[in-house]
Amino acid sequence: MLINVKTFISKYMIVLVLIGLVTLSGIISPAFLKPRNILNIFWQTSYMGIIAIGITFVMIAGGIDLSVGSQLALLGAFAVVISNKLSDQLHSTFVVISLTYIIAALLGLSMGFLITKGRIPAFIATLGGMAIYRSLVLHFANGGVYVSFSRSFSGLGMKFIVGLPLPMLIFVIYAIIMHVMLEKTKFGRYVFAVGANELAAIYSAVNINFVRITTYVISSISVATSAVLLSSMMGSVSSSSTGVGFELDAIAAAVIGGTSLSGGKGSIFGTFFGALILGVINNMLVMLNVAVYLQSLVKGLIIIIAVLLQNINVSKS
Amino acid sequence: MDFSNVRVLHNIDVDFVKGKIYGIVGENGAGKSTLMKILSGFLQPTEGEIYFEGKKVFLNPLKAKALGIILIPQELNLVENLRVFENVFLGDEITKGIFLSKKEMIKETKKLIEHLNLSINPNIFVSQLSPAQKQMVEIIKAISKKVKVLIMDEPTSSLTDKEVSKLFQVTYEMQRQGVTVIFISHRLKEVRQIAEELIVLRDGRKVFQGKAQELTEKEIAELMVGRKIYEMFPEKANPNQEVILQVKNLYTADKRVKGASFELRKGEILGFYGLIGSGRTELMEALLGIRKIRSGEILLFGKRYEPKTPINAKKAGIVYLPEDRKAAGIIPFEVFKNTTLMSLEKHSNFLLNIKSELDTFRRYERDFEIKLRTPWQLINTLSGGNQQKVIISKLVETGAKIFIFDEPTRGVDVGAKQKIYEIIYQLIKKYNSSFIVISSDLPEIIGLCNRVYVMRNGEIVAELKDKDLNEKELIYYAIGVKEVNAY
Repeated sequence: MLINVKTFISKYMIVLVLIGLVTLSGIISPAFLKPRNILNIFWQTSYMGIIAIGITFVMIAGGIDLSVGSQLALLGAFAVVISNKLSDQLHSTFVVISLTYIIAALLGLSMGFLITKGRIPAFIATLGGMAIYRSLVLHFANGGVYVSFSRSFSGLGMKFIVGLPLPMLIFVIYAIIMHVMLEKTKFGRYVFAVGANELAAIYSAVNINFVRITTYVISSISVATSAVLLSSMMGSVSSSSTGVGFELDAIAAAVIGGTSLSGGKGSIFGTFFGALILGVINNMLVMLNVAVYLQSLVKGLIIIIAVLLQNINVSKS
Repeated sequence: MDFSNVRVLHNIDVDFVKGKIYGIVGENGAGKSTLMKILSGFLQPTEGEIYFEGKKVFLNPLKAKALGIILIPQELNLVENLRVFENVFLGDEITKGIFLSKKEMIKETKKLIEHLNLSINPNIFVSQLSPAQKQMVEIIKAISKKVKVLIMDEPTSSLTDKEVSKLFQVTYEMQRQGVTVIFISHRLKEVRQIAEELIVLRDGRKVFQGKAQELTEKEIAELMVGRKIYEMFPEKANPNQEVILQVKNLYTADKRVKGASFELRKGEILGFYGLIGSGRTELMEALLGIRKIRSGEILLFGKRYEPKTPINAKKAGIVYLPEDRKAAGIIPFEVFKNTTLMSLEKHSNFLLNIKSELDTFRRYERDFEIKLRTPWQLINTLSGGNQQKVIISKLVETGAKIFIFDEPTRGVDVGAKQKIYEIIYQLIKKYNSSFIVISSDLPEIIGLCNRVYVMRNGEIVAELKDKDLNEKELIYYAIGVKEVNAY
């Protein structure tokens, strides 16, 4: 019984932390608990959260993807530019979305090939991607902004379904689908195996290159999802600021949720709540009027403490 | 000396005299390395005493080093990306104030090199040196620290004949300077040549100490061999005559395997014996598609088989139990997920059926007597024997026809060992499976296998069976006292 309580707590620790944070915020500032504010936090977190879900796959398989922030800007800009070129009708939006996904899949595929067949460490390859994507976005806008003139496209990001913002719904549904994929499919099992012991996975006839390449494709697809939602909601993509720092937030969300940087450990469940925790902290900092330049400091501390707590847990057991 | 409850060394009394060259020989696991680790302070004896220059000493690595007892391990301890002089003075750098004095170190290294009549540029990176030169750098490193006893573990295993004679010259030079040299090797010829005094170990006991020249190589080899206990193995069954795997003149791209030819029959347990580095594991890796094949032919059930990856091998019905359980065997997640990893398609119908996975695991848990608290336990929390049983269950679950087991019982307790043999017999009885067993454990390979191939330097040098399959023959061929037999 005692053991069950213990495993229950360690499994759902992250939910307890989130509830604790929300309660604390509510006590400090009652305005925080207004449904409108809670909804906003959820909504704002969705863009980063969707990316964090993709990056969780990459990290469990033992990789890392630093390119997601720049990729978000690139894919967002691509979607805006294409939607401007097409007629302003609903079916054009479908074309835009499909094309964005195709480009994203190609980006993920090439990154995956560079890392597996080209044997470039993931950190380096995606660092290169981060610089290249950002540079392209900046160049074609000459450092400026990509503005959408398509109403049907920019209508998408502001859609509400049963009173809930579309990005938030997609974040939740995407999390559920990806959770099932990670925990209940052969592929998901292989992702864990490759990250936990690559050599043993090779001997066990797991196609490790396929698995690792696919995780980068998943990461890029997640970025594309977020890019379409974000660029249509904003109606524009800033070549210099959209997506900046997203990679760190996404990695932080995964890490807070228990994903190991060395691979083999992690869950979508954890990442989902990790992202929400980051969102709540961001919101709290704003509501408490913490100096803008100090906000990153608090975030940094939270991440370090989260990992420290996990390490203490591990060494105890 | 007790080592994880197994006594590795028993009552060894040895005196080492100043300025003498000693040779120590013994088969794999006879206790040579353990003895050397004790002398250099890396292991502590459970009983017995060590005296150095008349005084009783308790050694740890630092103490041993301070006394001048230096061990050069088989796997050299050099930093490849540093220059020769930097390696020589690593951890003992000569400084001027807070800065390193490169000039001084280079000068000193040069002196040491000349002292040994060698020609190595002290400024060159170690990665650019030949294996022999690296060995020399280890020796230079040793003498830079006022060595009194120099222990070399298999120093010649990667050297050419010419390089060996250079090493011997240096060894004689050290001897002239009053250093005691202890030379451990599998190569009896070399040991006889260099050592004045020979020590033979067998099963952790000293069975001989005397003048090396008094014995022939054959007599030394005979001393290394002894009777052991064989009670674990039942009468051998006669395998089917049907050949299912045939390897013809196989070379690997890296030449670790040179011209191997052998065949495996249905229901047979085929052994591979050889010293470490003889090419046994490398040959199996070629069969598995992990090591590149340069030439040769493999016929599996009469059809050409060209493995590119272990995925091909699995499809063809060949699976492999790796030698290094921790590095290549277990996947550190839940135990039952290890069992089903190679056969997930049985439990997957788009989504995985965890319950069916657990049922499969429970069957093996019962049949293989795997001891654990829950299938959700992480496999790395199990004992070595139970881990091994889980990995075997993973292989069996694939329905493979050929199982390659590389050192299946290494680091496994006696009970699990017995169970693993039982599993092998059961699989042969039930499915007529075939086994290739690589083992350095002589009683195991003799008791278990129908036939044994012996490998040396990448070649298969003998096929032994029936009354020829005994310790003497195995060791003679493995170390090269007996040359190739016409199998």
